[in-house]
Amino acid sequence: MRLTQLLSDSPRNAILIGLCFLVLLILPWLHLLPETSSFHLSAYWITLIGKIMALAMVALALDLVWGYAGILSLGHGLYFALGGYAFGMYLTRETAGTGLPDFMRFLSWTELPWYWAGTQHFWWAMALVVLVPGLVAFIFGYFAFRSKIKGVYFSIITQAMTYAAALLFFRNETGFGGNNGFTGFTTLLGYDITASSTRAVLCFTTALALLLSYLGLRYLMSQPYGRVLGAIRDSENRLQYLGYRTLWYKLSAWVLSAVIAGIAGALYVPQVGIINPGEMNPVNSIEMAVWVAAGGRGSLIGAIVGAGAINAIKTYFTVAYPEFWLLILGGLFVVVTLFLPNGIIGVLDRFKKEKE
Amino acid sequence: MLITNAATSNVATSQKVTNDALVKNNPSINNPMKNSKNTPHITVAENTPTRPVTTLAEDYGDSGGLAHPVPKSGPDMRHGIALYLEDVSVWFDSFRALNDLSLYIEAGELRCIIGPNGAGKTTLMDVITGKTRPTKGSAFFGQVHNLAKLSTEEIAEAGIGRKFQKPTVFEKFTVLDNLMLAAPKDKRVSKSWFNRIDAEIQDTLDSTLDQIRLKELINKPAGLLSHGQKQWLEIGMLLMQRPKLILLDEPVAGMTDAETEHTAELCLRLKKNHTLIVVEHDMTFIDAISEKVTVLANGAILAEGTLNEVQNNEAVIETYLGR
Repeated sequence: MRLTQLLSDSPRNAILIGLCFLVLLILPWLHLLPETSSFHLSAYWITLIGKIMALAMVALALDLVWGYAGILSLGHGLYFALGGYAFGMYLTRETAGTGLPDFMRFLSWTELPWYWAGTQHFWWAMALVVLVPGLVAFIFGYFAFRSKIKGVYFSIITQAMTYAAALLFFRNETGFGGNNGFTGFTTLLGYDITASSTRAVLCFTTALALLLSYLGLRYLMSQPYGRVLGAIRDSENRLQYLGYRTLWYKLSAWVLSAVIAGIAGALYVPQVGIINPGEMNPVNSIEMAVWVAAGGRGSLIGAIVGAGAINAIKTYFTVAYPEFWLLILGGLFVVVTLFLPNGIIGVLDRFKKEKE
Repeated sequence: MLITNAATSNVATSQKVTNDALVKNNPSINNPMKNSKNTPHITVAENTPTRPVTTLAEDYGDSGGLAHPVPKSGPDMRHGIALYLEDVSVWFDSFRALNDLSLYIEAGELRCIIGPNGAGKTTLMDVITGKTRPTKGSAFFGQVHNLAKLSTEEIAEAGIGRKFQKPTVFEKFTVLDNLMLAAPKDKRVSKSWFNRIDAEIQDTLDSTLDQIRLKELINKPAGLLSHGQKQWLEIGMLLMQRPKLILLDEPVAGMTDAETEHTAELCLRLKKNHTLIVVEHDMTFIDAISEKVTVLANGAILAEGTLNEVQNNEAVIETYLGR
């Protein structure tokens, strides 16, 4: 398979998408230019771009299960936050040095809980970023799919899951900083987390992770695997009569999606400098579904475009008219559902067809 | 499965002759299955007992889905019987969809099942494909596959393919994608990450496309096909699975006369290498393909025999055909 094919179906779009990714990969380094240069990007912008790219990765993960396999998750914030917490544990340990993290000392704990073991090592924390969301998704998905829970019932359960997890993480006794979560990070692998070069590298890593997840998922969706997921969305029963064990297809897509969301969470936390149970708030997860719907389901690139567009609008409105943001979000959802069933990508496709 | 019994070889030859004659006399059949050389012709011994001496549950006990390890080659039909249904009953609360039904289908047979609505025809197919479990009785595919225990996917893998009453193809996918989904390959997740089309799959695809006459439409979304074409596409998906036993639920519903005729030819050609069970209301179609007809009524067998015999059967006339 050629690289252009991996980026998009038509060569022209492939070049366009490739250029966009190239820009995203170059942008982080502009932060390192001297402030007097007209190409210099401030820390605000670099953090914002990095943050949105991490969120776009979650949208990508959600598109895999929703757009292809037809499983609507309203709880992907859980996997995102779990990845974030796993990496946050490492950052907290780095900040605390050899002592206990601050919030534990306030609780007058004398030693680390067992599940914090090894989190001072970067690679173990990275493993947790993948393993924890993956394992939670596997256990939850296995029982839900085996019980043949589908459609809106499944969505409601995912919602309940993330809410239950939020309540659990709010408790101080859980050992994850309760209400405040983790914050006040100072270093990452020994480098100052607020230094320009660290920021640029983090932003670049996020862009790279986004590109790789896009290419990987696009490849996978062009293979029989993607075709089977699409067939599950349209008629799962029929597929079983062809001899497919749909449970494992759904479960593998679900776990892969959770892992990508977890990695996105891990990239998000060092850039925004905080992780708290608010990320597990059901509203956050619903917003993720809105990104995918707005961008266009089942096209992968649509999820990235949707996440980018909605977050750009959000960034503007929450500063300019903070009290109206939720109304605008709700309005957007109504407009997309009524007029843009295939999202932004659907509109672009229609323009292109009319031109031809 | 080739029977080398001297007594039966005559039968085999005569059957082959009739099949060949059919092909010769019918100009529209000009694409015999490419792989027919490799697969042995299934011929049915005349002296095969229509009922085994002992029931299978006694032979194999009741332990799990498979009575003993099954060779990869598929179901064990050494006894010449493809499908055993013994005293099968299906009760939905107080409603008895099937009532102590016993049915034996010989390997290589084409059996037609007719009956009024609600006679239990579709329930029978559901039992065979594992969608519905029999309330009592036993259902075996060949000697070892216990249909009452295996899952739908395992039954499909063992070699039973089903065409539904209402054509169910994947409408957003192209004809080719639909057929490739059904292709004879390992259907586990890990095998689906790479697109591999080997010679076997290619051969199956070519011969299937020849038979269902959709070669020019392979890149058309299935949702845009006519009703008859969708029926054929579904039959094509069946053929791609390379099943041993094919269940066709009303295959010619909504087809034009010419399409019906072509489907009849297809069924007769399939009979050479497959066992078929056809449920249909269209008597002209049944007349064209049938050798043995089973009439179902109220979940039990009312009559069995050639179409002519059952049509003249008093009980059948009473309950189904009408005077």
